[in-house]
Amino acid sequence: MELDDIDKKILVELQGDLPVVKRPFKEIADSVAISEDEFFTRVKRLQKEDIIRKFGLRIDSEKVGFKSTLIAMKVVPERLEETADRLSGYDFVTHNYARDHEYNLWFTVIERDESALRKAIERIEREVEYDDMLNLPVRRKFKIDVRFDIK
Amino acid sequence: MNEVDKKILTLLQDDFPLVSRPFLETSEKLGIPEDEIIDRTRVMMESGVIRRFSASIGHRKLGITANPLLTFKVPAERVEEVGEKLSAFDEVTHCYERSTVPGKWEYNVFAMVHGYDRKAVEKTVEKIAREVGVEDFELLYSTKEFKKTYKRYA
Repeated sequence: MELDDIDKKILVELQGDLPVVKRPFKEIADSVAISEDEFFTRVKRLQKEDIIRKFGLRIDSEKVGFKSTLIAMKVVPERLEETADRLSGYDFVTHNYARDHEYNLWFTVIERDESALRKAIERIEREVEYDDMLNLPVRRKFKIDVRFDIK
Repeated sequence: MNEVDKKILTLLQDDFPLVSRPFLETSEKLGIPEDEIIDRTRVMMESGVIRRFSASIGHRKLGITANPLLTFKVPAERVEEVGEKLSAFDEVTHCYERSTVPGKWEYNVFAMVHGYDRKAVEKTVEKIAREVGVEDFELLYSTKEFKKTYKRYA
């Protein structure tokens, strides 16, 4: 899908926080000089194309008690796809990527509290075949600000 | 956070209504005045329970296809400084200190870097490594995305 300048401006605006006011979208529409209706039409198209993947209030999982970790797994290359699919099947696995490294599968596990997280990891240990697994929980957060430079 | 806050979050964390007055729609569903929903949402943003009110972009669809994980081996006394320096780069979207597994994985500071292609990213990484002054690092490109979802928290 070709993006025009207005689409690009909308994407830049929507990556920053919207104002919590009665008509939050009107402010964005005004700032890119289009009507609210046109804004909705464009945003729906961007959603359909999966360029906007999710829109809404993002909760800080830790503030509501959730615990998470990053796991690096070493899997026989021939079984990478199968193992990855198996892991993706778990609700508690939210992000899952193959990476160009000896530890070739990297995924995040998130659960509602420490004990549930431990159980999730034990379940992976029991049900998934792998050579090695590293559990790498966060010790300190420096930055989460997912904004992309729209070209 | 009380039950009303939870209800608001449940409704607005994924399918935020794309209508002129989204909080009015929520207010009708919950039987709570629009102003109260706005006030509660603001309070939750101030307290940090709501981290962002924004869109998540399918960056791969936009051609941002080089998305490596950059990991540094940083001595304990320099972690704070390196973390802050890394965070200052626009190309870095996430930056954390993580636990290590001695003998197997000793890289303790992680940064996610994004770019339109590997060439651009390599330039960025060179610049970043020079700036933070850490020579021991690994660059792990993602070769396939198997899953990217968001868990519901309320």
